[in-house]
Amino acid sequence: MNGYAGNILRVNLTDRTHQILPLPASLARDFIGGRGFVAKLMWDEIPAGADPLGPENKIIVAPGPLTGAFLPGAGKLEWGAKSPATGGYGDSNIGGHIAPEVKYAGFDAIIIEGQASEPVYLYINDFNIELRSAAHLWGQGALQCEAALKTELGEEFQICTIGPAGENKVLFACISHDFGRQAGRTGIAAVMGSKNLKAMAVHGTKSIPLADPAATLEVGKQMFAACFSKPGFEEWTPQGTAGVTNWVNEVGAFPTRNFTSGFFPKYENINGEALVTRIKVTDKACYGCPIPCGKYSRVRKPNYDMHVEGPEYETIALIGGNTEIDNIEDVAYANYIQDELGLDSISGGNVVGFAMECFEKGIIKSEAIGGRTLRFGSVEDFVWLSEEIAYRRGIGNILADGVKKASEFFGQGSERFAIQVKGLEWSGYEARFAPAMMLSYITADVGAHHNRSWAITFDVATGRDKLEGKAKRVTELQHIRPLFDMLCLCRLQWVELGFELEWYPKIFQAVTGQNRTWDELLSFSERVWNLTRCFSLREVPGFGRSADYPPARFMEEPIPDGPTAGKFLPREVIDRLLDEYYEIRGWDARGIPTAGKLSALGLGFAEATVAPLRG
Amino acid sequence: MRLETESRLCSGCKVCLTICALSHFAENNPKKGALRVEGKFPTPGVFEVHVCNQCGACAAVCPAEAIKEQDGVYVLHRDICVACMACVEECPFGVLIVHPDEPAPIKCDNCGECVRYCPREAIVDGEGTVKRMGR
Amino acid sequence: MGVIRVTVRGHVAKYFPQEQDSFDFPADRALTALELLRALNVDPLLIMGVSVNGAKQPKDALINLGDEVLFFSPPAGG
Repeated sequence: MNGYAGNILRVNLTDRTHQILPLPASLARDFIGGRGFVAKLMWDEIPAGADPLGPENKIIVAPGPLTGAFLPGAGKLEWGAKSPATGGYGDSNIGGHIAPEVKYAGFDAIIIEGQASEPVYLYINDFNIELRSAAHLWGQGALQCEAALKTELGEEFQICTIGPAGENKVLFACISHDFGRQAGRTGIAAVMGSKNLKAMAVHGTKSIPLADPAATLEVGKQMFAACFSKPGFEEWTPQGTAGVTNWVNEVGAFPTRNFTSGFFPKYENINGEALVTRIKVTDKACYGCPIPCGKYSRVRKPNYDMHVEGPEYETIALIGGNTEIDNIEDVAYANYIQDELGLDSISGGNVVGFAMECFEKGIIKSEAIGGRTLRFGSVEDFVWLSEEIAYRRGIGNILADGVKKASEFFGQGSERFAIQVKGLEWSGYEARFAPAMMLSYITADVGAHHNRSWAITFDVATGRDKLEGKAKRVTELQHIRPLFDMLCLCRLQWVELGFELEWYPKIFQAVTGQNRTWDELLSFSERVWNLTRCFSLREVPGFGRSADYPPARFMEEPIPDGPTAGKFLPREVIDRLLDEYYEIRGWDARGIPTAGKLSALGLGFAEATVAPLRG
Repeated sequence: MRLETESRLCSGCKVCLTICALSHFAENNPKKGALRVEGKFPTPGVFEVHVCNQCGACAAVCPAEAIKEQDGVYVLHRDICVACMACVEECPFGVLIVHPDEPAPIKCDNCGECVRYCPREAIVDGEGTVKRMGR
Repeated sequence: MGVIRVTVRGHVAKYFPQEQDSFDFPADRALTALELLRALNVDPLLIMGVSVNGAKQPKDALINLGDEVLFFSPPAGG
């Protein structure tokens, strides 16, 4: 099958065995790759009711048919597992250079199962597969461990690691790679930690089979040349994702003070311009990308001197605005601390912000934390708490389970300002003024994440108070964006440069030989979206509509200041949005796919599991 | 056409390696590209690009006379090469590339595709004749 | 009477007249990006940034006849 490496690697950590099996043609035909493989293999392989941190959970790793091929943005890898944070479907995408290497080693998917009896790392060198001792690596920071393995194995190996947070099964631990890329969300690194799996090291030398090498070369060249000619090609790169900071504040969508407000008065001190002029060293790319978004930086202050990739916009939002750390140097330093500990900086900034509000309200008392403080704006407090969390010490042990569980433990009304959905912390956009974006966040499959459907411009353009058309647009976006995750490509060339979507079927045909329109490819997205909904329905008791609501703060507290002052979305509005969304999706009033919908999408195999849940 | 580098602009994207291999081998395999992109991470956090400047040191040590100069370009003739790897050792820039599926080392033939498609213009034609696409 | 050359990068082109991403705007005087956007009936909040003749400018910078203006869409998210 052209485009595909042709093999699946199954690794059993308990028995220390592995198998290299042919990629089933039906899997490729029906689920394309990347996120599609993750969704189907999770459904098939993970036993119902598996403990996310137990030996029955499995980690699925999958690139796509275009990953590693000659086109812009061909460098993304999808990770999946039953999430220890949400108990349901979890996935996370990572850039850098690991994805193509998995293809060059010869694999379209890796299934990691069981549990090692002591720390190991997975060594993949073409078809030479080993589980090597990680005794000398256990305890190291995520970046430190990557450096150690690069030295030990050679620069040509691509390395993914977990830090102490993953080892200690923090529910928002992240997987790290390429000195600054992360698979951050849903806590898959905690699953790795529970399996005693410290790292994965991959090297491959094989070619990706192409249906038409000459056409691949020609279309690929045209795609790169088209990117170069896009207006704004030069302007976007220097600031990368940080370049959106000003605009988000102008709109009033910037997470501030644990999502109290949508505007941070000191935003110009933590924006893209601050990053470029004060700390940036190198523009760093993922494989095959012409618009390197990575901003590799160096910060030198009296009490620290470090390099970090970033801060990216999300980190500027969740560490900068959300905990009110008001200068780019300290945001970069806090970013570095969480990167080395192996904490997702989106959840990491959200959790610390939550703790700071708890401290402010006397829910966490200074006496309970050894006389220390947790003050908004304090990078010292931020760093101290991050370390307590990563090592599950004291109050850190409670917060390490995420804001949903921590707020249930603390009580005293803290659930109202635990800013999460389904157990996953909210990411970098305030949405009380933006019904489509609010709907995007509450219906995202993994929990409160923005990248499934980013609809703020749609809200701004069509009217912030209007509800018409919002559910339809969110549904469309929830099909476009995940398609990139199935092909396992970066979508930023489309998102940032306006690169035309019509290019992708052309290169898809040149590489795979398959003639598919963009709309045909989109139909796979709807299938996968429904399958992952079914997985969460299967695994999370009571899942459905009740899991699709925002935190009480967003339904009851108006934004106090800034451009979006006064805005909030009451429960009645949320209900109207959900009703319309479920109808468009062919789901019942409880948010469960109907039998007809499952059948139409080729998901009849899920009906027996879902039917009893409809009641 | 003479390859020169501006390494401070390199982002490590490896488009150069992929187009080189695809143009010359009709294979999608950056490991067969005739140049090297070296990352220096975590510190100092920069890339260095190593290209062939047609210095001819490889030709001088080849015992089989498999590397022949034509119009200033040293071309490695795979049918003559005996795979002794002396050229690989000798190359001052480490850009004679060894790949397990190729009996002969892989050498740059100065085609200029990397210049045309490096998104960062980190690889340029020192003579100014060949430019990046879109320039 | 003169012309300002307008280009729109990214998805907000669809909110411009006839959804064009590249067109000439007839003008008889210099105006700011904010005024230009209002004249085109485009909410200035939809625009993340402006560059005039290749240089980044604030939204209240003056644009002269004969200038080339580039409007940037906000990135459609992470």
